Amino acid sequence: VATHADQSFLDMSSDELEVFIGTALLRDEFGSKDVSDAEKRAVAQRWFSSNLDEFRTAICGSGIIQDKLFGPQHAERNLLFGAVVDALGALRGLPVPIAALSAQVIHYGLRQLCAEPLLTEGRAG
Amino acid sequence: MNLEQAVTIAGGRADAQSLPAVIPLQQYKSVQASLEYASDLFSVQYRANAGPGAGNLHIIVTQSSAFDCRSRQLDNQDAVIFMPLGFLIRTRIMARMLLRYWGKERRILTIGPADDPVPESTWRLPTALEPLFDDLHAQDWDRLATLDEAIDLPPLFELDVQELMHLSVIHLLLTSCPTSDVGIPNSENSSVSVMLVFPRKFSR
Repeated sequence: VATHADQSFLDMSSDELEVFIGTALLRDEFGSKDVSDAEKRAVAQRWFSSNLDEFRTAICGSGIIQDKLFGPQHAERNLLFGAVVDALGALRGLPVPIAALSAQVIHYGLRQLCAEPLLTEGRAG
Repeated sequence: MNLEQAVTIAGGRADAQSLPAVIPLQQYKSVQASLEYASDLFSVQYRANAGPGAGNLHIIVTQSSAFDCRSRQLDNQDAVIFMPLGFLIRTRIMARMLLRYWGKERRILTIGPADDPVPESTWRLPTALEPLFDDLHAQDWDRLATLDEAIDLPPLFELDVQELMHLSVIHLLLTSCPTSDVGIPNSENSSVSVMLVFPRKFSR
């Protein structure tokens, strides 16, 4: 369930979320110099892209999200966000805060995410 | 985080089949062999220091134009050091620059006094050298290639370039990469360095 604090991620731009997610991914990494925001964003983009299939399976397989997304009544953005937080919460071991990732998924576009074929299916086919 | 996830976010593995033209395949393979050997030696120390269950310490060249090493512990108790391809290419360029002076007239310069009147804030790198020290965009090799092409060094020196690259990369691995953060204190690097840095025969 998304808390009020989680909702604040929805107010962040996609670039800001990428910096936040990149920082979380690099938290356990050591280096001789600080990582620039541009590199943090690149790290976040690479991680997001490489895990897109897993997010798609978790999110688009949810009946609740399907109803909210494709049902007769358009759901509010906040309700969709809460449903995405719940769906991603089922994934174990995510190295970034689920609310931040959920907000980034909303920026990516749920309709786009659920309309795209699985990358792995594309490769196999 | 597992190894493949860590490699992915670090930019992916460098691909020997699609190297930028600024580094010859043979030299890349030679450095890779040095790093694999270093990885084997480090793994022995890593297991000794990290205790039961500790695995290997991987050293992986990533498809990144950055110039600093990074390291991290992995979920399975392995550890990894990432060495960007940009790091290797810069080392090669500096080796080629240095070897231009081989056999030339020696000039000894006197270093200026500590109270140099020119303030540090006004110090600037020579423009042509900026690509060596700038943060470049991912996989933007053009600026490094332009600098490399401006270095007039006979092909006869390529084996020496390779040897200097080996020594430089191993030296930087031992002194500049964050090995202590993955359980190998710098003080322990000395025993590894004897095996790794022992110079091979120069061709001249």
